Amino acid sequence: MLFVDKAAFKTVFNAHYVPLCNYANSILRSDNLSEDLVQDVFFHLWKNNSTLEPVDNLSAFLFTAVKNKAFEHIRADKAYKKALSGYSTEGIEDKTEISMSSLTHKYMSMERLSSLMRHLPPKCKNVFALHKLNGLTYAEIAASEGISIKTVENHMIKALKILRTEYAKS
Amino acid sequence: MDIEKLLLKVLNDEASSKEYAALESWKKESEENIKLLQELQTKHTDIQDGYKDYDKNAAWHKVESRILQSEQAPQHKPAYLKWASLAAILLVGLYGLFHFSNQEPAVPKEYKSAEQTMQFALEDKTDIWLRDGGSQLNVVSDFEEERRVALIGEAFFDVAHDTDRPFIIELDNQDYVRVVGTSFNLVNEGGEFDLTLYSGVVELHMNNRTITLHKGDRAKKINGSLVKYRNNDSNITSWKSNELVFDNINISEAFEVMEAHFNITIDYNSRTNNLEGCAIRSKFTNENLEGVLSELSDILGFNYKTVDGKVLIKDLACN
Repeated sequence: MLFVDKAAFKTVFNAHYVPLCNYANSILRSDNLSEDLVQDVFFHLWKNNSTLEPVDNLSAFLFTAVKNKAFEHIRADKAYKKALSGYSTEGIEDKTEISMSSLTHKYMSMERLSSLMRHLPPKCKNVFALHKLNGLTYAEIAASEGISIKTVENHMIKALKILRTEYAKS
Repeated sequence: MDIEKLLLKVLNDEASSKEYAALESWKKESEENIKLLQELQTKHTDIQDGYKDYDKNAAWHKVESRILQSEQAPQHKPAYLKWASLAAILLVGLYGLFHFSNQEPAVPKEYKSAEQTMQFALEDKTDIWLRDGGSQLNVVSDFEEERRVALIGEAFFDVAHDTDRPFIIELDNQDYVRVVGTSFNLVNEGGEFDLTLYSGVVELHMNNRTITLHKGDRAKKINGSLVKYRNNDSNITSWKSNELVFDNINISEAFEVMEAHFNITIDYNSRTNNLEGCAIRSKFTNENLEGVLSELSDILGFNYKTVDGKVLIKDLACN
């Protein structure tokens, strides 16, 4: 049995749904398709729960399941094959064999920060993202947002304060 | 020095050696501090270009109702029935003239609310109000011998009286509610339920036990255990009646009722303010959040604003 009960299943679902969709979307380039696929994977895992063995790294297991499903879809998609006309789809999978665990880690930590950032007020989040993620300097942010450098710094301090309390809660 | 200012300097490589020493001692305070710092030091450039926030609640509803349906679907349908229904669909689709209702197996009906509360009557004249925001009711039997439905979310039932055909609502696993004729409010979400009875009698079947509820009783399953008590909350069906009744309750309770009714979060400084004796008696019909807030602020003299879907209450003091 992979999940002890439905509550455990739901917890796993909630923690992984968004990062898995993002990952699926990086392969399939379609939001709808990605969401359907991830939901499908979860549905089948639950249906077969009684026959499944527990795994060591559940996150990596889920990412692998989604990856396999996504490539299954691509292979089945005749239009895609036709577009590739003549090229083999063999090599595609190998490219993603970087390391499933580092990939899992990347998406799960992206999810963590992005879910922490959901707690930031809009302006504060914007400044934090520009500085921390896009690497703009305070002066550059101040100029582009039409605010003073001091205000940029205050937004950053506020962002860190909120992230710190939210992190402690999570 | 503020930790935030310190963190800022460290992240921007502007910290002095003294400040790095301060950082080290802060890191020693807890494991979480170390993890947070690592989190902040990782570059997440991908988040800006394209990391999306998919709606996991809506997705969970979809997956759960699919699970529910597959569990209720007959396991071994005779093959000829499948062919009969397929033939029926084909023929009806082609000609639209023939009535195959006698041969066709009962098709489960699904009702799902969107942004509005949804009201409808089942074929037995049972009235149902489905709460807005994706509550779902599935009709899972043909109503010949028993009337069987499954609920995910919240609904108010006014069940048509019929002693020959009991009305059954499936909850989770083997739990269900069995009714003859009565009205009640039921929430069934994530393995927990909350049942409030307004008239008549219902039987609650849980873990192979049967609990009988009478008018005015309320039963809740929380963390796997059941609590039964007399209901004293007059706002349980406010989502249906659009009426909020604050009958001499404390303002903090009123905020809780509003949070549930409007599906929002209200922030007020409960710790810094003494809210004892801050009772409120008022009634609102068809009033929106803004209307309720503005009247409460007139009565109690606080300020409020809405930020990011949250209501922030300021200067709340009870005189």
